[in-house]
Amino acid sequence: MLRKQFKKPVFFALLLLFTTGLYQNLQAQVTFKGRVTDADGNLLPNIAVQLDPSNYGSSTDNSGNYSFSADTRPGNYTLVFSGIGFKSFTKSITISSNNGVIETDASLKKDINSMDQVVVIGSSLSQSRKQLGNTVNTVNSKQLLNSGSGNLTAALQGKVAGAQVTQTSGDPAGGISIRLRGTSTISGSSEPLYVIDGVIVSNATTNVTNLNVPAGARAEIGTNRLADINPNDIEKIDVIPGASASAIYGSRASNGVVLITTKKGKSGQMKIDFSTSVISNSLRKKVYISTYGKQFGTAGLRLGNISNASTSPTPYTGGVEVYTRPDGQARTLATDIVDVTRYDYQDNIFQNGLGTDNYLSISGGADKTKYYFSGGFYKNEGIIVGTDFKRFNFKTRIDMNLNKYLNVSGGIAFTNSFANEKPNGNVFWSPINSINITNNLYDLTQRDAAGNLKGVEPTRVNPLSVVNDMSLTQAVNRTISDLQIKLKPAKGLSIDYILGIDNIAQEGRNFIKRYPYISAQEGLGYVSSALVNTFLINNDVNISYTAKFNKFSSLTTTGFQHQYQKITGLFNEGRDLLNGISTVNGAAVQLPQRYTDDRREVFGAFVQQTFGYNNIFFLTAAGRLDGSTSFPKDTRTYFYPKLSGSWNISDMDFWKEAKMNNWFNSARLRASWGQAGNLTGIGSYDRFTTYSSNFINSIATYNLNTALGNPNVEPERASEFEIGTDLSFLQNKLGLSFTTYNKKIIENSLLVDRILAPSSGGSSIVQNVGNLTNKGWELGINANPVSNKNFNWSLYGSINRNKNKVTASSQVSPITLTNNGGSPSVILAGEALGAFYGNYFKRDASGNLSLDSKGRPIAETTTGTNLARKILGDPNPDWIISFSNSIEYKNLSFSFLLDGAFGQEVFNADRRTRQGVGIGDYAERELKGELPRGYIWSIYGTEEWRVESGSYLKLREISLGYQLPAFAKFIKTASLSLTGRNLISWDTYDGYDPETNAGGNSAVLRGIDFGNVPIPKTFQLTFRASF
Amino acid sequence: MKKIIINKIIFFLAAAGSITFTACNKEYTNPSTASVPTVTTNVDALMNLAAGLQRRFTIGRQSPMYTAPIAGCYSVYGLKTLNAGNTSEAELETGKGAVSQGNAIVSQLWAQCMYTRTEAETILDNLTVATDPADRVGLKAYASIYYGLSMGTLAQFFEKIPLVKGENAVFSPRIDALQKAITQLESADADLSSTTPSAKFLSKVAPGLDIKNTIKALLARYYNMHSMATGTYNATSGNKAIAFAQAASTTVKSEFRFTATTSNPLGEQNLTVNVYGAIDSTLGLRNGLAPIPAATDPRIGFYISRVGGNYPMKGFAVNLTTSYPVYLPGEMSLIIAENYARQGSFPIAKIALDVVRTKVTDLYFLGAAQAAYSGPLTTPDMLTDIYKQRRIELYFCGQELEDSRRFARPAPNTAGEERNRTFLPYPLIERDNNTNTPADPAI
Repeated sequence: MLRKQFKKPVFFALLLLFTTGLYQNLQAQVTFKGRVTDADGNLLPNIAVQLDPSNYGSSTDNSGNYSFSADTRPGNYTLVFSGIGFKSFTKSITISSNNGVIETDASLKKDINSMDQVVVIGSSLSQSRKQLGNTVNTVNSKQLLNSGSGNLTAALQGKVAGAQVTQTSGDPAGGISIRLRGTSTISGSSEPLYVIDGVIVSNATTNVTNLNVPAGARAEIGTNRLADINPNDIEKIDVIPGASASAIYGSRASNGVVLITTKKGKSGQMKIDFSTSVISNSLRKKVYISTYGKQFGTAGLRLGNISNASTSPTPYTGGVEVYTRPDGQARTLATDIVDVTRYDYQDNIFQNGLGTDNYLSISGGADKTKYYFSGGFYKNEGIIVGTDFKRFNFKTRIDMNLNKYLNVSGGIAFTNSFANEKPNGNVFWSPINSINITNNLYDLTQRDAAGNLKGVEPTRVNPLSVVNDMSLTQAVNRTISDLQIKLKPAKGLSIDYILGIDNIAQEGRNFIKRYPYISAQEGLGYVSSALVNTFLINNDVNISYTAKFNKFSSLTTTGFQHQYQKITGLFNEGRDLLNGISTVNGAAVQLPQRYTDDRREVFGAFVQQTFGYNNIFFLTAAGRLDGSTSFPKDTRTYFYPKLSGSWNISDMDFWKEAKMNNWFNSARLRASWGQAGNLTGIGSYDRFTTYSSNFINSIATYNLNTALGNPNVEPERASEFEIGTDLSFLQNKLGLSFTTYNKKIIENSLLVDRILAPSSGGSSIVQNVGNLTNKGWELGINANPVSNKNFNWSLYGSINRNKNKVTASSQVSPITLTNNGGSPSVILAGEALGAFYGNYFKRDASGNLSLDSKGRPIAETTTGTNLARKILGDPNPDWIISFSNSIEYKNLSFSFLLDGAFGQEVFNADRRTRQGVGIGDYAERELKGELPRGYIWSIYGTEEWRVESGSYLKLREISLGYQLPAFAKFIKTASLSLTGRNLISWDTYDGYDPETNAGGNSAVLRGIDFGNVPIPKTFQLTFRASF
Repeated sequence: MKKIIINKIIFFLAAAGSITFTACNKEYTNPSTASVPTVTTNVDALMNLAAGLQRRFTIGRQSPMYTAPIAGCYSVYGLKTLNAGNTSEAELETGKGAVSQGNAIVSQLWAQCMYTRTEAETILDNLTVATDPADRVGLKAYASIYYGLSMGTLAQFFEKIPLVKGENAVFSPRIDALQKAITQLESADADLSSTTPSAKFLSKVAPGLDIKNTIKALLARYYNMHSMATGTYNATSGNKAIAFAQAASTTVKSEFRFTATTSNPLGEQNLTVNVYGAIDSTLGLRNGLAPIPAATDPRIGFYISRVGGNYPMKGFAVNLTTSYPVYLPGEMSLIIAENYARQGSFPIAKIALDVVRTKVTDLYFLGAAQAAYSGPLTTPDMLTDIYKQRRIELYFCGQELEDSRRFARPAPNTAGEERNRTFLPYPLIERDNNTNTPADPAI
């Protein structure tokens, strides 16, 4: 490694050396200026103006004017005008040595499908959309502005066709998971690759605060680290959904790529942007907690609905119902009822959380140097008492044209974030679970003479202890830095080099005070400390050459990538904390320290060739060679091909002659096929069978790690074919984009942590065992019915249909995915990933529940008391839809966004828990005699009862804005906006929110509701001003 | 000029390419674990693995040290679950059909015995790495003990067992598993008669286990099980059991020792977590076999105490650091008594039985202090008393289910039933991943 780190500086030295030698002094100083309007004559701000070929350019200000100077050689050039939503416009110009000022105005036509928009397709590569055979979805800064969320990924909800963006937890730093065209892997992460300004950044979910939470081996609980990114800094986001587009990022693109471009300075006057907002978060909906003042048996009987009438603490002598369930489990249930007082503990743990988001940026630039500095402070309180998330951001980006050939830019983005958390939902000492699992007969606020909280039901934790006396904190310092050198040594040739580093230091602490009362779970006190350091470095070199011969154009690109990642972690835990002790060092019982050291390298090279004919046909072929050190030497390197084409029918002569321009303005067909690998699909060392050392009675030991290594494991390989069309109608007022895709894991390469029969000598092995498909289509509709100076109305809708299926598996029986919520999630050939496979109820011929003589449902059995199992549901949505509407009238603007997912099921563990504990609606009905005695016990072991529809449609965003009239000379623009987020959810779900997941960002544990913090509804009032 | 540029570009590309492709052959290994060759080609590492066998077999709630006594003693109604939330224990307490295929104790009992066996086999397969015969004998004897313990423990609970590890391993009758254990232990026993394990080896494994006597005691135990494994008494095996039982020392302790950090899992779940306790002072003995009053047999007070309505464990599960004997002197005497009784040699059988009945104490301070056997000198009568003595003397040893079967005690769902299972069901984790898994036993 030392050798390699030494090499990097050598690069720059080399680059600088030969570029300075190229400097020419035959220059002309020319100023370019003009104004840009749309077809109706409205002045257009934010239109990029670029002198090609050169590094010089600028963009229009709020009044549609641009101006920049260039030091350049005389000759023929092109001025390129481009902006989001408009067709690009080019104008040929000639620079002679005596030009002083060249004035060029431009009028841009609408481009509702954004065909001419330049999209980023790789670290430093971009192409206009019309040249591409595959889908690239773009979200711009304006769309992120009024989302009501300080989290970048949450702000994407409903804005990317084909993407399922799920907020898995309502914690202020809560997890967000993104699936592009369905879940495409089992092993490893199913999250897309994130690249910010060419730097491959970590979006890992690293658990540093809940080390004592056994959520399940495949769960990924906690904050995913994209939370560190400030959405205010983002210029645009390009989303590449899959393998067909991935020559540039082939190695890691099988889950798709999210390319984030941050704001840069634009040449012109210094600009200061300021925004500040106040945020209010509150619980959207309470669940039903019974306060019916009755209980079965005795007041002290725990789990009265489902437990035997007990002899202790007070003997029960009343009537009983003796009931043996079909699975052989028997109960003697008390039928007498006693009076109790019940409370709704939701009032004790939820709060209205306040927050603020402040941002200041200073940007601008002279002709050779552009700069962008920004700082932000964000603080948001959660809806659980005692939770919040704070984030400080500082960003610097400098861009310099050293000479005609050489552009150097670099950026540093620093984040310091701090979260106050509470225990994760997967345990009974978490806020939500402590209220679900505790019989609500106790006044929580009662304190003893010493002022200590009193205990509740034996073995349970007082919910107030959870929110008041458990301190979980996570502090993160993160720096994302990049250095980019762009070289244009000859006409048509460009060479780019990017060095990117993402460095994260995470410190997590957990401190659970010894309870002042007797209770089981962590009652003696618990403390942990975790330090995780993540270091990611990537080196990318891309060389591209464009050429034109008559009507033919050619773009040749080749590149190398190298990525190295090192993640080290130090984990300490202790239990039994005596009074006054709050660190691991002081704990009476110290658990063995853990240290992890995870390193890998991913490397690749590609060649890509695009041929174009007269802007009508584009054909791209690419090949890529990739490898990762996570795989054995013999199997690590694979070749991934790609082929795509685009046919812009409306640019053909016959179209132009057909005079359809009034109603049918443009049409394009495109198709793309490609393969990509999942080179990070297994752990860095999973290929090795290993022995762990330990000790027994002070003697050193070795033991076999029963998770066996596989010396023949291969990277997962995905193949994707997509075909689609982009159409626009009615003078570009209506745009339509349709894509159908078939994405699959091929050649039996699906990686699975296969469970082994113990008789094979191990417990699991990572193996290529099967295939997986995601088939579906995406339809996007853009409409801009009215657009004039005073009134603008635009609509956007998208529908995505996806069917996920494991098509083959060498393992016929279900692979169970153990988790703490008891969800029967499995991987089974012929079914969707993470489908629920469990026991179900007997039903009659017409599908109604069969009931026993007392009116209770009957669990289906196979032989004897063995429970029958079948597929009960699928956590993956069949349909994802979104609809947005935006109206601007003079200074007023109004918009809303609907976002929904349909056809998925949720495993609602909490619903059953509440019934068993006696605080749920069914428990109340059984007490009232509306349900037969034993009803809850009859459904208790049958998973079907816990699987319910998770379909929802949400009012994701609603926003009202007002552009303030000029009230001070130095203020260019100022505006106020009020945004609501997640205000309404239309669903039938018997819980807080069907959009949730106790498995966090896990690829396979999906749709599990177990103690999860619900997503709050949010209001945000924002003031923005530019100076 | 142009040529210079091109040269520089080529040089630049070559430099960039070299970075990329030096990575192609890089092999990062986990610095926190040892690779297979590191362990299997080094004699010291094999000794560390030998020491690991005891860790695998005795440490943690998943270890056979916990699961075997729990599964065995619950099966004869000897234990009570104190916290019904421990569903695995609760299922075993109810027994019969309530023992689910996914029962964690049954699954772990199965899996951890299999893993112990795999580790023992790794040592036995690589003995040639040890060039010093004394090292080799130590490794072989020690690995044989755990090979025997894992096979023998499985044979106590399951009807059929895969003898060789592998994908879709084939199941064989339990008698074959016992035979494999016996063959391995006898081979080690023969080696020990000529060579003593090296001091170096003994310093590398946890003290407490007496290798020589443990092998003899295990041979006695497994030959004894083997003698009745078909249901018909096999006197050849019985005589071997007698011979090995006589050869195992009753004055040398052989025990699993524990510390606060590597603690006795039975003690931990009894004392700290309060999961289970004895059913009551009958220890689950039914049909008039329980000593009445309990105080008449000091062994009851040795093994259990009484707190309110509960009977927490004492004896070898009293706390985190209590040692747990691999075999008890009383077990050897009772094996001798049992086989002579089955063979009709009642006077010798009575002598061996009375050793246990009249013992006031032994090296573990366990004593029955009863009168000598005065019942009829018939096989059934003597076997009944031998069974009773085994259940009390060896309370909570894990052999309860095997004993109940071998002594043909009343089966589940028959008049006067004394046990809630005859064999355990095969765990789901095996069934789901091994197509050769046989049907579960009826009960």
